[in-house]
Amino acid sequence: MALLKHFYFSFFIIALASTSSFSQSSKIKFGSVSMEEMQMTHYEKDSSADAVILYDKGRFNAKELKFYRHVRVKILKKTGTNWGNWTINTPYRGYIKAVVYNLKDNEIVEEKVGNDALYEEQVVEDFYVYKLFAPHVTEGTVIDISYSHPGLPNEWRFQERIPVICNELKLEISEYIKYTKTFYGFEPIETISLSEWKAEHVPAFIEEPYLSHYSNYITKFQFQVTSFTFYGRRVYLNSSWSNINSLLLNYSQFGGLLNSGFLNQPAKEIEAKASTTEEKINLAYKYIQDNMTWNNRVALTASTNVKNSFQNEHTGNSAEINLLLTALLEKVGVKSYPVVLSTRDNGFLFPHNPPSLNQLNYVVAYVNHEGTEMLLDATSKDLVPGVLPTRCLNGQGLLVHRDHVLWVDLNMGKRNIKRQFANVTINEDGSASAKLTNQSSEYGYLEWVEEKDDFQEDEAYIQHLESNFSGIDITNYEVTKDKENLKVTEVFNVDLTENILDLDNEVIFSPFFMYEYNENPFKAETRKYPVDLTYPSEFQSTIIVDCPLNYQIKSMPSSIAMKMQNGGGEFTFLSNQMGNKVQFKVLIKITQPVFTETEYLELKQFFSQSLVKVNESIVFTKGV
Amino acid sequence: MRIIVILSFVFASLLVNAQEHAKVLSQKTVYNIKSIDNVEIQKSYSIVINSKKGYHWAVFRDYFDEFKTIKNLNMTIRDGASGEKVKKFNKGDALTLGFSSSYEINDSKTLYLDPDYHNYPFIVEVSVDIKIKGFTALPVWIPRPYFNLSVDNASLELIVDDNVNVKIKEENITLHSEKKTEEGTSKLYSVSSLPHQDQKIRFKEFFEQQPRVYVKPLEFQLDGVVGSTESWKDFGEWFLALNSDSYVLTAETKTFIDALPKGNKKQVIDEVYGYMQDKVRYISIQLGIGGFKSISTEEVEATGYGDCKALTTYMKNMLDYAGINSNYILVYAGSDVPDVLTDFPGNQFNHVFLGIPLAMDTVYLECTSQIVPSNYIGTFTDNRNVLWIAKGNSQLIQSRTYTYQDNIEKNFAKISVDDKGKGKIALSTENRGILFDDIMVYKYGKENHIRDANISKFSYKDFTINNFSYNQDDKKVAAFTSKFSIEVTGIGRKVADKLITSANLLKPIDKYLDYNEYLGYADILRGITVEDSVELLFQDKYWVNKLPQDVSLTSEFGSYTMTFEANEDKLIVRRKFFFTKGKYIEEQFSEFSSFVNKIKAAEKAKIVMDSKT
Repeated sequence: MALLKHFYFSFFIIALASTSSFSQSSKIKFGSVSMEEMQMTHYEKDSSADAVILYDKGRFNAKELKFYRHVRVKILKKTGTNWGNWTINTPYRGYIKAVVYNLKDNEIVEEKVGNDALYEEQVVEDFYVYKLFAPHVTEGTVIDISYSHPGLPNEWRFQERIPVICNELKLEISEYIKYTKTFYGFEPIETISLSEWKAEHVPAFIEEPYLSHYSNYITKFQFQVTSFTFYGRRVYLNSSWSNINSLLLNYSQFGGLLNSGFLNQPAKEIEAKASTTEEKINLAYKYIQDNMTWNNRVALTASTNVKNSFQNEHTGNSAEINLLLTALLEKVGVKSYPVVLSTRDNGFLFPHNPPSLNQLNYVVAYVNHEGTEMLLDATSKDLVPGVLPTRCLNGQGLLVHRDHVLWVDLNMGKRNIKRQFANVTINEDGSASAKLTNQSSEYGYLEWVEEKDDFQEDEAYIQHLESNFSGIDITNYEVTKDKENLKVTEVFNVDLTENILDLDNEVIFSPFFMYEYNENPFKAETRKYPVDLTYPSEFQSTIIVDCPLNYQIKSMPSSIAMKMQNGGGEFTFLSNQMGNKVQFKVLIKITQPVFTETEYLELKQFFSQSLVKVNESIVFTKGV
Repeated sequence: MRIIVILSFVFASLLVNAQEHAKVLSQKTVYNIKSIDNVEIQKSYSIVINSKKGYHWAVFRDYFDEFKTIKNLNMTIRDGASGEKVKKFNKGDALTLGFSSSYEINDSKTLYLDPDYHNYPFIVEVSVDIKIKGFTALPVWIPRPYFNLSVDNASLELIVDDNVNVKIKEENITLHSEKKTEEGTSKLYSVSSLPHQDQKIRFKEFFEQQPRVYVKPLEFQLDGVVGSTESWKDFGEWFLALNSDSYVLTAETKTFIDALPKGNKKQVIDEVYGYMQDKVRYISIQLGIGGFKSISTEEVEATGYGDCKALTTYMKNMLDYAGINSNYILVYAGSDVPDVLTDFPGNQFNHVFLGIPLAMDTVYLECTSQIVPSNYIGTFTDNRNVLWIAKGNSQLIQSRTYTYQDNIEKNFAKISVDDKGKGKIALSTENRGILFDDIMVYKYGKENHIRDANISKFSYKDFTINNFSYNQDDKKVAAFTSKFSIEVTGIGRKVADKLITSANLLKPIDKYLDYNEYLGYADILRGITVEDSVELLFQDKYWVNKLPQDVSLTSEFGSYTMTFEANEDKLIVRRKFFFTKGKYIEEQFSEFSSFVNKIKAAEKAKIVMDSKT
C-alpha cells in the first residue's frame, strides 16, 4: 500500500489541473485508477457535464464466445450521482464486478462492491436483469464496472447521454459466429483494424425536436449475426435480400397468408361488383378495413391462427391486416406484393448495407398493375388506398418477390396540403368580420383528424383555435369530412374587430389572421442533427379584403418571392388592389422533408422571414 | 348469469354515450375479514368498453408480494352487440412484471393481463380472489375510481368476524343493510347510476367527491411491534416504537459534528444538512417491509445511500448527536393527491421528512434531496395535513404553505427594437418561494430539457434564446436568478413610419394562471406575485406621442397594475400583480374570467411610436 501511495503521489506532482488529458486508453486497467482521474473536477470540453465516461472498452472473445465490457465513469457533480446506478443484462451475478474510488485526504480509497449492492430484478416473465447500486457515490467518485455475457451484444454505443472520453471496441474474428455491423451517428470513429475501433472525446448525445427517432442518431454500431456454426454445420441467417425474400415467402406466418382460402368468397363478390382496377382496389381495401380492427401491434409476420383472428375476432396485427389485403387484391386480379420495411422508430434501413431480418419490422401492400402503382395500409379507419401512416415514411421498402430484389420508395408523393380562402369585410364603424374556409387534404387531413380528436366537443376546439390566433372570435363553425378523398373542409365565421387597430385617422389591419405557420417551429439557435419533417407540405391562402368606400389605402404589403438555396422551400406573397378590394395570396411550400444540419439556419430564417412578411399590415386613411 | 349479461348489454347499447369511454355494468366486491392476518377478497365485475380511449379499463393489473396473493383470475371478453363469448383467459395467461426505475428495487410484482381485443364496443368480465396476510389498511373500495367511467351498479359486502376489531369510514355513501351471518357481521354498501365525469377538475377534487369505503384494523402488528389506530397519538407511538433503534455514527461524522460551533442552532442544522447532502444519495430499496422499517444509520453511512426513511432517520440521529431535537413527519406526498382523512387515524402515508422545532419557528428538511436548501419542501409535501410524530403527542398539523407573498417572480428587461420589428431582449429574472422549483430542470436536466423548459416560458411566436445562465447566490436560500438574451422577430410591427408594440412585452398573464375558459374553472394552486420592469429603448429613432393609460384593476382574486412612463431615450413599462390561491367555478369563475379578460385587453393594448424624422 505504501508503494502505491508513493506512485500516486509522484503522479500528482507531474499532473496539472485535471481536465481531459488522458486518452492512452490501453493503459487503463480495471481496478487501478490514477490520481489525475480522481482529481478531475470538470470536463473541459463540456462544462455542463455532471458525469463523464472516462473509458469504455468492449471486447468479444472469439474462443469463449463471450463479450466483456469494462466501463469507468467519473461523477463530476451531485446531480450526476445516478450514474452510480447501473442496470446490467447478464445471466449470472458472478459475471459482474465493480469498484468504487473516492479521494480521502488526498489518498485514493478503494471499495470493492460486494454482492449486497447487486439486486436481481424480474423485468417480465423469465427476463431478469441485475441492478447495481454503487456505494458512496458523490462528487468526485470514480466507478469501475466490468461484466460479461455470452454472445454478441445487439449494439455497441460509442456515444452516451454524457460525454465519453475514450471508447474502444475489439471484436475478435471467430470461426463460429459471423456477423455484420451497421454504423449509425454523426461523431467520427477511428478504424484501427478490421476488428478494432476507437472513438475519443465523444460529446454527450442531446436530443432535438424533429428527429425521426433518437436511436438513429446516436453514434453506435448495430450488429446482426449472419451465420453461426452449430455442431460443425454452418447455419446461415441472412446473407442476401433475396434470401430474406425466400425466407419470408416460405414462412407460413408471412407467405402462407397470401393463399388464405377464406378470402376466395369475398374475392368473388368483389369481382362481380367491380369492373375497373380502381374499383377493385377500393372494394378490396374497404373489405379488409371494415372486417379487421388493428390491435396496435406493429409486426412483420402474422400470429398463428389468422383465420380465427379474421373471421371470429376481427382483430389483427399490422402484418395480418396488410398481408390479407395483399392476398385479397391478388385474388381479385390486381397484381400485388408485400413490401417489407423498417418503421421510423425502428431505425433507418439502408438497402446497400448488409441485409438483415432484424431490421425489418413492418409490411404493407404494394400494387403494380397496368399502370396503377400504389402502397396500401389498412390498419387505420382514416386511411385510404395510396396513403401510408406516417410511421412507414422511412426511406425505402423491400418488395418481397421470389425472383427479384427491388426497392420501393415509401414516400409516394403524398403531402400535407392546406388551402385557405377568406373574404374579409371591414366596416366604417371599425368592426370587421370574415368568412374563412380551410381545406386540409392528404396528410393535412390526417393531422387534422389527430388534432381534432383531442377535443371532445367543437366548442373546446374553437377555444383552442381562438387562443392560438390572437384577435379572432369564431362565431360559427361548420365542418364537412370527406373520408374517401382524405379531405376535410372547415368554414368559420369570424369577428375580426379586435384585429383592427384604429389610430384616429388611420386604420391598420393585418390580413392573415389564421396563418398556418404563425409560429416559427424552429426556435433553437443551432442544430446538430438533420431536421426530419416526415413529408412535404404546401399551404396556400387567398384573402380578399373589402374596404369601406371612403377608406383610402395609404400603404399595403408588396409582393415578394423567396426560395431556399437548396430548393427545399419556397414562399410567394402576392398583393393586388382592385378598386376597394385588396387581394393577397400566399403560398408556402416545403418540398423536401429532410434538411441537413448545415441547412438548419437557412430553414429557420426562411420561416422567420416569411412570418414577418405575412404579419405586415395594410394602412388605410379614413377619407372625407 | 346469461340473462343478466344479455340484459346488461341491451341496456348498454341503449345508453351508450359517445363520450363515455367505458361503463361498469356490474361490480361485486366482498371483503371477508376472518382475522387480522387473514382477509379474503373476492372481486367480480363486468365493464363495457366503448372506444380506444376506454381500453385501459379492460386490462387487469394488480400487484402482489409476500403479504398479498392473487388467485383464480378469470377474464372473459364478449362482443358488445351480440353478447357472444369471444375470448377467455385465466391467471396462466397473465404476465408477471417487475420493472422499476434505475434508483429503486422492490419485491412487489405486478400481474398483468391484456385481452388484446379491439372491436368496440365489447364487454370484459373479470373475477379474481385476493388473499391478504397482515394489513394496516385494506384497499379502499371506490366503485368509480377515475374520470370517464360511469357505473350502473356496484356493491361491497364487508364481512367481519366477531373477534376482529375494525373501523369503517364511509365517504359520500351510507350503509345499505346489515345482517348477522355465521362468518360474522355482514355490511352491504351499494351504488347505482353514477354518471361519467369528464376530466375537468384535479384528481384530488375528483377523488374526494367519490363514494368510497375505508376499512382499517384498530390494532395491528408489523415486524413484531404492536400498534393501534385509535388515535393519531397512538399511531404515532407505534411509528416511534418501530424506529427507536439506537444508532451508530462513524468517527468521521462525529468529528465533523463536534467541530461545529454551538449556539446557533439554525447554522448547525444547515451544516449537518449540507454534510448529508454531500455524502449520500437517494435509492429506494423496498424489500420485505422496507416501507416501514428501513435500513439503519450505520448502513446508510456504509453504503452512501438510503430511502426517505433511512435518510430522515440518519439526519435525525446526527442532529440528536449535536444536541438538537427533531421530529419525524409522515405525509402523503405528491403534487395532485387527496388529503389525509383527519378523523381516520392510520397509515395513509407514503413519505417521511423531518421537522425541527426552534424557539421562533420550525425548520423542515427534505432529506432525499441533495441540492435544496434547508426549510425548502417543494410542491410534493406543501400545504396539507401531515402527521407530526412526538412521544406522547403525535398530531396532525398543516405543512408549510407557500402563499402569494412567498412566491415571487421579478423581471428586469431592456429591449431594443430595430426597424424591421426585431427585438433584442436582455432579461434578468429572480425566482423566490415555490418558484425556486424551476431550478430543478437547470440542475438535473440535460441541454435539451433546459432548452425546452426555457422555450416554454415565453409566448413569442418567433424567437431564439441566444444566451442563458442561472445562479443561486446563496446556497442556503431558496432563490435564484436567471439571465436570458433573447431575439424576438416581430416583437414590433413597422407600419409606414410608426413602430407598434404591445403594452406587455414579457410573459402574458395567461402564462401564470391555470384556467380553462371552455370547461369553466380556474384553479390557482399556489398564489403568485409578479413584478416586471421593462425598458423599451428608442435609440434616438422614435418617440411616444400618446402614452397608454395606466391600468389598475382589483378583485377578490388578486390585483393588477401597469404603469407607463417615457422620456427621451426610453419607454418604461412597470407591471405588478398578484393572485391568491383559489379554486373558482360557475359564478365565481365568470367573475374571474372577466377580471382576467380585462387584464388581457390591457396587455394587448398597442403602444404606437412615431418616427423622430
